[in-house]
Amino acid sequence: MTRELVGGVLAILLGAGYLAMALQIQPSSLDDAIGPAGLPRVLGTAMVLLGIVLSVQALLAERRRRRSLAAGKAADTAAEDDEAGEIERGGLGGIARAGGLLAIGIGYLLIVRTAGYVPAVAALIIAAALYGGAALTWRVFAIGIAGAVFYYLLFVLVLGIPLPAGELINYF
Amino acid sequence: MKGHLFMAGAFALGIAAFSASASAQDYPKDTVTLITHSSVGGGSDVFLRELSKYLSSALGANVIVENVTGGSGANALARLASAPADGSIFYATTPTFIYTSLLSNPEATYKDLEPVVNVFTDPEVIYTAADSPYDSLQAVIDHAKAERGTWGAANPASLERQLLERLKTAAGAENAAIVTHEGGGDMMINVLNGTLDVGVGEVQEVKSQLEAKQIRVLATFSDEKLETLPDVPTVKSLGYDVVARKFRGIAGPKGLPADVIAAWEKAIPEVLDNPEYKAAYTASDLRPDFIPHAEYGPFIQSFAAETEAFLKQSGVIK
Amino acid sequence: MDTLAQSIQILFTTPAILMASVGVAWGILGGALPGLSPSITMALLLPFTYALDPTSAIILLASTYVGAEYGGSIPAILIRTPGTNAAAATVIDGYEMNRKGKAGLALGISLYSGVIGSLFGLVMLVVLSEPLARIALSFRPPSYFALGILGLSVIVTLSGGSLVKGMIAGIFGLMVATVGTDPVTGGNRFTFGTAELLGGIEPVLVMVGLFAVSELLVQATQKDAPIRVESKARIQFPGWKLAKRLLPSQMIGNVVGTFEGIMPGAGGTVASFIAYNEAKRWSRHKEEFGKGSPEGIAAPETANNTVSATAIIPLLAFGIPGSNSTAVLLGGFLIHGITVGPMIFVKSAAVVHGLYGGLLVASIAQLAIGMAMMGPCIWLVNRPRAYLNAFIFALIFSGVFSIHQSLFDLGLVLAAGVVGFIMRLLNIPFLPTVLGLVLGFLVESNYRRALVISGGDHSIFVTDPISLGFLTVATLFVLGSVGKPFFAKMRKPRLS
Repeated sequence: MTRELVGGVLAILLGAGYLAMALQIQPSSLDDAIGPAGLPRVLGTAMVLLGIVLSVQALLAERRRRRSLAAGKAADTAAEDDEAGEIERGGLGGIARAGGLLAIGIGYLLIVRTAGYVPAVAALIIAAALYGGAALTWRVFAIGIAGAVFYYLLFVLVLGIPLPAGELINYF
Repeated sequence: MKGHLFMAGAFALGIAAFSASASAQDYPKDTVTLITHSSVGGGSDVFLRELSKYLSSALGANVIVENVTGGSGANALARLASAPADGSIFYATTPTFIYTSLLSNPEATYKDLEPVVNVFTDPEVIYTAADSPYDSLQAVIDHAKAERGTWGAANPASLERQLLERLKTAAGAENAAIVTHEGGGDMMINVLNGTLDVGVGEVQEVKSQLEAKQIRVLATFSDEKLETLPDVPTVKSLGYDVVARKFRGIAGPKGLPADVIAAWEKAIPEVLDNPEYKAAYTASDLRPDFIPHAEYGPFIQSFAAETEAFLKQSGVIK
Repeated sequence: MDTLAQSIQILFTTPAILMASVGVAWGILGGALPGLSPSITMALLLPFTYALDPTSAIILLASTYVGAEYGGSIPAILIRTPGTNAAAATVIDGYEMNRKGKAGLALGISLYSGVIGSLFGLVMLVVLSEPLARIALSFRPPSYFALGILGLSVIVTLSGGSLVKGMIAGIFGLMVATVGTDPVTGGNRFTFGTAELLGGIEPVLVMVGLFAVSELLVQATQKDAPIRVESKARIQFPGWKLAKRLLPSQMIGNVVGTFEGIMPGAGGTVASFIAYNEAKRWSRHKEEFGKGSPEGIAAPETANNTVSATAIIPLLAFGIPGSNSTAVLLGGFLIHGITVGPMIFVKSAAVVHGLYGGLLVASIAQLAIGMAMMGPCIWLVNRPRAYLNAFIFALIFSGVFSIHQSLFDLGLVLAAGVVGFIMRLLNIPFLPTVLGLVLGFLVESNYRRALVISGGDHSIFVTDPISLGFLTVATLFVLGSVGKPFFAKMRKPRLS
């Protein structure tokens, strides 16, 4: 499957799912002629159609490429290059690495209420820096804690935004 | 963008809010926090801040205003419902808290709060552009009956829209299209440029255009004539039984002790009689409308029941 | 010239200069922090304005607006994250210039264009307020609908290679915009029973996710640091030749910004994208757009700074705030018991003149403070990548949390980041999504409102002259861009 085909299929699924929800919107007597479901229906349908167009384009391109390969012509390397796109050579391993960073972010969401802002942000910076390839020395920890304190000063003291204090503080 | 022009976060005013929860002495507390869902500078916020100036001495406590915005009031409701019922925290009620409770199923609704007392009502008026051909509400209704009418309400599901729908039914003006907007400003432009025949809004909101003689007020939805606009008839006196009380009052968490309620029932009338405050609120067209605790609960109940019936009847909610 | 004399007098008799400078510095800081929009940055100051005299309070708030609109471009250029919604268009070429090691020049162009925008907007505010207000008044629901369609037509430019993909991205944005309260009935759509979604999904959350989080995720996929030219930690202003080249795009930004500013609901983001589009269309160096064109920074930055001044026109003329930021400014007036509206020129003339003077100082302060802040900013982004990204990650979480103190918002940002990552994986451009999201509500609500007014008659979109004009321009533009390759293909076989 090419990227194009994946994109096309995703668009069809997204459009269909959205359309199904749009069809469930209840009419009310305050409705205008178009109604709350009017635009969503158009959008869902358009998304499905565009997804089909993209998929068909992708399949046709794939067939053309195979044919030219079969005909023994020099492989369509130009098309390959085009497809490489923004995320190069990462492959599946690359996607997994991105997932790891996402997990660090989700971890922050889970602990920030209990741990409080400063410890959570320090942990976030340290984890993300190590994950990004920083050497495991005392420096990472020092920078992480200093960074958390800096952000605390900036957001809480300068900007006056109440970031979560956390529950740990109660034990001191 | 979207209905909520204001969207800022919650900003506590003054660090004093963090005073210890220790001293369990008699009411009043050292600090009383008034929560509003409106952001700084919004209608309810200005009302509360003005009130808090005079309330501090009447209650004998330090009164602080805190803005808990977001979710059309749902966040503020949730904050109140989980707060201690010791008289240290209150909520500024407006019809919004009923509408949000009914429309959006938030985790906490108006039923989780205890209405304390009412303070003001905000008169709602029907207005038209100064250069429009309509010189009375009847002319507007006649036009809507004969040809087409375009009547503006500031927000989709709001007291203003409810009033117009009721007026439309009462007058039998089937050809009146009720056009909703994303707030009062948006609608004002369409009244001024003649796209709409009339609009509905609070006197406070349309005051600057009124002063500049860009608009004329045709009728008021209040039950009596307005002091500041003595020539304007009430909608009811014109033969259409549509009356609105856009209330502004105080509610607290469920289970407030009797002495707390008594303190408020004493303080609010006192504050309303303060000549300095009286001058301020009269100038901004707020009508003092003190409702004691015993009547305020039922008042909110009936307002909510009426709104719920309207929303159900029109199919907006199930 | 009474106005001018009074404005200058107020400058020297009140702490106006101080207020304007503090406001600009605060605004640049807030604007540069992703998540903190200009309106939030201003709202954070509101409680403090209670203690100030009215003129100082208004100058402080208006200067914050000016600073914030500029500040948004700093992270847009340096870390591919628009600090404000209006800086989204600046990312396109700003970040490309940064990648080529020209961050200093990119920031210089953005600052210089921003100052030109602020000054031009101020002149419009002072001199042409009345006629411009009359134009704003002639905009009716069909006109707003057509304006939104014109904005959406820019998707064609932002689509890159495949128009189909661009349209998919654009429709996705429109879909996200339908979440929340229905604009006509007030019922809920696509909220899944969550109160957090009632007000809709705020564009700022989606933008931070699409741009910043997806960028971090993409960088995490690559083990080795990408090839990136280090930028000199110095701001660099364009030379004479480049300045001359930038002039047309800045003029476009000025004009677009003026008109978008006076229209309630349109605002800086739309202005930036339309200005970018027009600058590209009229440029002699079209091919450079998207690859680090200096004009691609100048046009949107001039436009959004112009908006920060002209958005005040409808506020003063009608008392109507056209955007979140001007709504906060209105709050500032209300706090001091000043009724905003046409009578303000009579009743509180001193405050208005003070505002004009304060905005002038703010433009100058913007230049000085902007220059001083550049060096440290560039230094910061030249730190080792692992640390830089970790700090950006933490900054996003802190900034976004500041909006509503909501963890739900943080979840949305992460989700938007994953969506952005997938889109980049599939080579689907995400700028059309941003545009669809920003314009969806404007287009839908005004389309339906227009039909309620006309009783379901679609001819209202043709009989309204403004609507007819915009729709014609949008149609010609789309046909022109889509048709060109199509016609080229038709002609090719004949030639060969």
